[in-house]
Amino acid sequence: MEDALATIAAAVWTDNWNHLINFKVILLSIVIESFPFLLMSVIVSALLNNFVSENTIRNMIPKSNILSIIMACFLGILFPVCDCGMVPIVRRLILKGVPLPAAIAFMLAAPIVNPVVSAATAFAFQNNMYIVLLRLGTAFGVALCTGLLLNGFTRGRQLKSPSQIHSHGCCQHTLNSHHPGHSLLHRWINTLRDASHEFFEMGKYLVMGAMLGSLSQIAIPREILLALGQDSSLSIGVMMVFAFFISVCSAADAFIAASFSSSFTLGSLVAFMVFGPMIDLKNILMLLHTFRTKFVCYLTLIIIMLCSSAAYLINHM
Amino acid sequence: MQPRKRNLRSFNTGACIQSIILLGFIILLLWLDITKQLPLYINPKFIILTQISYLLLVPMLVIQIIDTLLPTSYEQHCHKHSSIGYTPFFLILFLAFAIPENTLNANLVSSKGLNSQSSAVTRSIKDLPRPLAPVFSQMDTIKVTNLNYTEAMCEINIFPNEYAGKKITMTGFVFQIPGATNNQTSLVRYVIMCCTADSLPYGVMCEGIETQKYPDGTWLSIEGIIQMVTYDGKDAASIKITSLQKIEAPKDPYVYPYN
Repeated sequence: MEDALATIAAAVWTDNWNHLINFKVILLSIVIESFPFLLMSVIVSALLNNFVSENTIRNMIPKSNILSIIMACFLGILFPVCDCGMVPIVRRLILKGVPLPAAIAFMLAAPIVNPVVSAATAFAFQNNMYIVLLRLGTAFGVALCTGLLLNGFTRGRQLKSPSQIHSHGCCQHTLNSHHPGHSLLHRWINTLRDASHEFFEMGKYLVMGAMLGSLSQIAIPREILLALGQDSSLSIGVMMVFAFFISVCSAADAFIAASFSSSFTLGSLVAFMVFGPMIDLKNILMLLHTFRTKFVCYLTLIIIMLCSSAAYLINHM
Repeated sequence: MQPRKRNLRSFNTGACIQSIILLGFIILLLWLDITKQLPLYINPKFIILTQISYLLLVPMLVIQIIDTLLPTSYEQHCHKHSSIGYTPFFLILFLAFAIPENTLNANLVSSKGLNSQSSAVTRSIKDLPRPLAPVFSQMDTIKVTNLNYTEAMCEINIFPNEYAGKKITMTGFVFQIPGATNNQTSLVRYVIMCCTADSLPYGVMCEGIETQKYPDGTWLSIEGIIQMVTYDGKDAASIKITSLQKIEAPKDPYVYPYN
């Protein structure tokens, strides 16, 4: 009897230990993979802060809001970035005077509407261009509509006021202006300093998101997902929730989607590949840190509505 | 605004903690790179990005160290993160150094789903590109390697009738498929696109008298003959094992296709 118990205890221990190893490996891989993108993002943001003036940026964007939103949706083609690092750049752009709807449209479209992700999607679905087009088209549409809706309905500042962002409690000037008076060396030093502050500010949310993401990869059993896959509306919801939790990079999620393609509806796969890069655990934490909570809720709701309606349409086409 | 005076005297704790974390990450990434462990976490073609990032961390560390030692320097007083905010970073560093094992084990196969991609047929099977089909059909013995692993598994699992009777050699780890009969098991490897988080287990069913005695996760190198069986009501491929050798887990356990 005691022997049996000991065996069971040993088995449970080995099992949990194996789960812990898998958790560590997945967590570390997400962190290592997203690290360069986060660093690039905070460095670009710090460079914008120290070397580019508001006027330069203002002159670069079209005067018409709608035109600027449309332009923002296409910018991803030039900047093939991953969603891991979008938030710091977007915050900086807004502080530099880019209209909120255009900045958000850029944030939503860039991680999907770009050459790297298109190529990865084509690979994952064995050169099925129809799915690639559906994914890019849906992402473009969702980003554009979200931008237009925000343009119509939001007024005023949606970034958290500096006093709410704890770490920048009293140095509004670092966020808001570049320092034309300083020497070049001084600017470079400040760039590095800003980058490292933002790295810690955003990095902790990325890391927490990665932890929850790897935990759900180990904890969500596939059978439960598969059981819901054929229902044309339910499957969409399931895949969007799944995309939210697992927080995989936009360049890799097509392969996960492809692994579900035999048992899930096409609309739900597209919803997975469009919703995931726009809103997932790791970037919603960064969004909540940067924008007003109410705004993040509205934004998430709008994206959920748009993604699920698009997916529903695809399922019934 | 807090008075600047206070910071003239006090030690800059924030910058100090940040220096420690930055140093920790530089050491971690450098160690993983030097000991060639990075391919166990990310696709080898992204290693260059990791190298760039630890090099970029160095100047950031230098600035933080300067800020730690010279708390009077420009605008430090306002950057006060609460120390709790650093916990996630320390947790990552702790896990990375405290758990020496660095490879996914067989436990994950069931939550990822075995061979799910091989049936990725959102269009008809006829249109599937089969670049290696003519190569395999000319070989007497199909040698499954790192390079052709994914294609070979897809070919064999989707078109078992075309390969029945052929000899095959392959390696992989044992995974006991649920619902298999006594002498059936599977040989599996993880296929990875970007990082280990998107790993998917690919494998093929095997039959042999001895397979039962190997627990999940044991690496085997086998020779066998492909045959067609009925599994779960469908035609499926299964390898009849003719010879089998238990091996150490390879240094490159994952398959990175399209590299």
